[in-house]
Amino acid sequence: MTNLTYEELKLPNYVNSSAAVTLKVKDGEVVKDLPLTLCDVVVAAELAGLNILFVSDTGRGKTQLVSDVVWSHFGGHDDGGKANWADGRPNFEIQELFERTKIDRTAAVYDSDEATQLKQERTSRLLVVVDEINRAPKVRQNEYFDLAEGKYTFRGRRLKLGKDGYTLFLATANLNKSNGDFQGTFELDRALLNRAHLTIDLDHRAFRPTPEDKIAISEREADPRLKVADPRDISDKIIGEHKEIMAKTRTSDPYMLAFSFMIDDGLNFCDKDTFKEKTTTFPMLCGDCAYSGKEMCSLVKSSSDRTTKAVKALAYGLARVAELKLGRAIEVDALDAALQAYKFTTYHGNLNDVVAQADFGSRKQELMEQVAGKLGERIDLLRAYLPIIDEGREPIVVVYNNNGKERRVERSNKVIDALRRKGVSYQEKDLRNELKENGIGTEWVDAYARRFKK
Amino acid sequence: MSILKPIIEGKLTREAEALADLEKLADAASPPPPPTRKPSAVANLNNGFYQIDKPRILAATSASYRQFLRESGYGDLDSCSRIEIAKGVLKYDQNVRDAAARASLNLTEADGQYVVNINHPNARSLVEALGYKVPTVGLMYRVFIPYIKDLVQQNNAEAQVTLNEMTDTSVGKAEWLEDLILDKTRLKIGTKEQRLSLPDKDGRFDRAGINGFGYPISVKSSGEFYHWHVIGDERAAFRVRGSGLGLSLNGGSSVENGRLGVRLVKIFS
Repeated sequence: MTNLTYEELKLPNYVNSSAAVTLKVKDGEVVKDLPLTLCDVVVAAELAGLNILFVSDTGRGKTQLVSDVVWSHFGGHDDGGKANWADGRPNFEIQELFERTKIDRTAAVYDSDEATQLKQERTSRLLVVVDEINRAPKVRQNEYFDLAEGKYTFRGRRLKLGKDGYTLFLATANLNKSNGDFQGTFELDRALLNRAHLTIDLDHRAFRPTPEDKIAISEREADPRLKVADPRDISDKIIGEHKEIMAKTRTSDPYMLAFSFMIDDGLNFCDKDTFKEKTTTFPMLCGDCAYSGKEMCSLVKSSSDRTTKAVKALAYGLARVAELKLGRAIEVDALDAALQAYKFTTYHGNLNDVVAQADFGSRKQELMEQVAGKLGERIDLLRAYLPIIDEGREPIVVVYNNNGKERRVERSNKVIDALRRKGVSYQEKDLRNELKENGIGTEWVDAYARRFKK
Repeated sequence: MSILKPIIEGKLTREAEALADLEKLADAASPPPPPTRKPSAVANLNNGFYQIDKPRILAATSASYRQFLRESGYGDLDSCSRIEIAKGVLKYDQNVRDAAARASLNLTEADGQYVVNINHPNARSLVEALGYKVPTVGLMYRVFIPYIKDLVQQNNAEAQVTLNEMTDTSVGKAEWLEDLILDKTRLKIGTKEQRLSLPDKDGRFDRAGINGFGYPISVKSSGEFYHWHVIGDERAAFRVRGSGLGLSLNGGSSVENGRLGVRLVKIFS
C-alpha cells in the first residue's frame, strides 16, 4: 500500500462536488452510504489505469479537468512532466509528440531512417491527453487507437507507452448530441469510443457542478480562461496504487464473477430471437415484444469482455478512493461497487438508441441511470440466492408471507413441512426462472453454481 | 487496502429463523387436504383399446382443460362415459387402407407394418377418417402415460408391451399428438387457441411440474420426462420414443419419419 492521500488527489482548479455515485460501505461496524464526487470517479479510473472520454457541450470544464490531472498528478506536459498533450485539430500529427528529425547539414547526407529518432522520454510518459478529439477527422482519429491502447508504432515496431505497466489516455469531445451546433467537429469513431473504458457526460444532470460549486467558482475569480495548476508529480504513488488494484482484479471473486455474467451472458438474452440472443436483431425485435422481462432486456445489450474487465477494475478503484476519502480501512459492497462502475463503462453502442432518442432526448447517461436501476433490482434478486450457491446447493427458495412481509427461505423439507402444518401458502422459486422472467439470460447459472458444488 | 465484500444482504431468511417464526403461528385449523388421489388404474383392454373410465379422466384433467377441448371441437370429457386409447401405435390393415383412400392419402405399406412416414396433417386426416382422434398432449401426459405406468406397476403384461413400444429406442415408435404450437406461445387444438408460457430450453420435468394443458411449467436437470423446447413459428407436438417419453416441440408439421407414427383415441359419450 502506498502513502497516497486523498488531499494529494484533489484537483486544484476544477470544482465539482456533485455526488456521481453512492457506495454502500462498512466503516467499522457501521454500514452506510458514502457519496463519491465526479472528481472521485475520475481519480478512481486514474488509479485503475482506465481511459476516459469526457463529452459535453462547450463550457462544462472538460479541458480544465484534464489539465488539472495533467499538472497536479503527472507534473504537466512540459519538460520534466509525465504527460503528453495533443490537440485534436485536423493538422495535428502524432509524430510531433514522439519523433524528432535530426539533420546534419555539414555532412550533406539525409537518410530518413537515421534522421528520424524516437523521443523515448516522451513515449515513457504515463498519460496521453487528446483535447477536443472530434475536431480531428475520422481517419486521424484512427491514429489515436494505438495511443488509447498504450501503444505507439515506430518503424513498424509497436512500442509500449508509459512505465511499469501503467499508461492512461484521456480525451475530451464536444458532442452536439442532437442539434448539430458545433461546426468543424466530426463524428466519433466507434472503435475509438470502445477504447474509452469510461465515458463521462458532463452535461448529465447528476454530474454537473452544484450551485454551491458555481458560487465558489464565481467568488474565486472571474477569468474564464484555462487555469494551469502548479506542477506536482505524484505518479509514482499512482503507479503503486495501480499495481495493487491490478493484483486484486486478477483474483477470482465470486461476486464480481456473478456480476460479469449478469452484464455479459445475462444481458445477451432476447426472448424473441430464434437463438435467444441479441445480435443484429437488437433493438429491432424489441418494438412489439410482449415479454415479461422487456423492461430490462430491451434497454441494453451485453457488455464486451473489455467492458467487464473495466467494470471490475473501476469497482476496485472506487473502493480505494472511498477508503482514501475516509482515511481508514473499510469494506465496500462488491456488487454495489460493480453496479456503480457499470454506469460509466457500458455506454456507447450498447444502449437501445431508439429508447435513448424517444424517451430521453438522446441523453444516454440518463438511460444508463435507468438501466443501472433496473439491473440493480435484478442484482437484488441474485443476492438472495448467492449464499445458497456459495454453500454448493441448488438456487431454489420458497416464498411466503408472514405477517404481511414477504419471506424467502432456502427450500428444505423442514420449511415445507412447517408451512404446510401452519397452513401457510407458498411458492417455490428458482434463480434461473426469476432472472429470465425479468429479462436476464441464465445460461451461465448452472456453470457458475457448479464452481461451488461440494 | 479496502476490500470488496458482500455487505448488502440479500432478502434471504435463514432456515432456523424462518422455522422459529413459523412455530409462533397457530397450527392450521384443519390440516390441508391430502392431495387428490387418482382412482387406481384398472386394466380394461378391449379389442386392442384401453378403456379409461370417467372418474380417472376427471381426476387427471382440469375443468379448464376439459372446457378448452370441448370448445375446440376435440371432444367433451365432462359428459363422456369413457375414453378408449389404442394399445399400440397404428399399423396397416384393410380398414386403414380404406380410410386412407377416403382421405385421399397414398399409403401403400403391407398389413402389419406401422403407419409411419406420415406427416402431422395426414396423420390427423387418416385417424379422423377412421373415426378417431389423435391424442392431445394433455391426454398423453396427464392421462395415458400415468395410466400405463400404473398398470405396469401392477405387473400388467399388456401395459408393459405398450410401454415398451413407447420407450424402446431400437424398435419402438414415436407418435404424433394433436397439438400445434404457434409462435412459441399459443396452443392450437381444433378451432381454439390458448396462450402458454413454455420453457425455452431443453430439460426434464416431472408430473408435478405439468400445467393443465399437459406441458412442462419449467425444466430442470432431472425428472420423469424430457422436453425438447419449441423452435420455430409453427410446431406440431409429438411424443418421442425413449425412457424419457419426451415431449418434442421442435418438429414442423411436415416432418415424415420412419420412427414416427400415430395412435387412435376415441371419446365415448
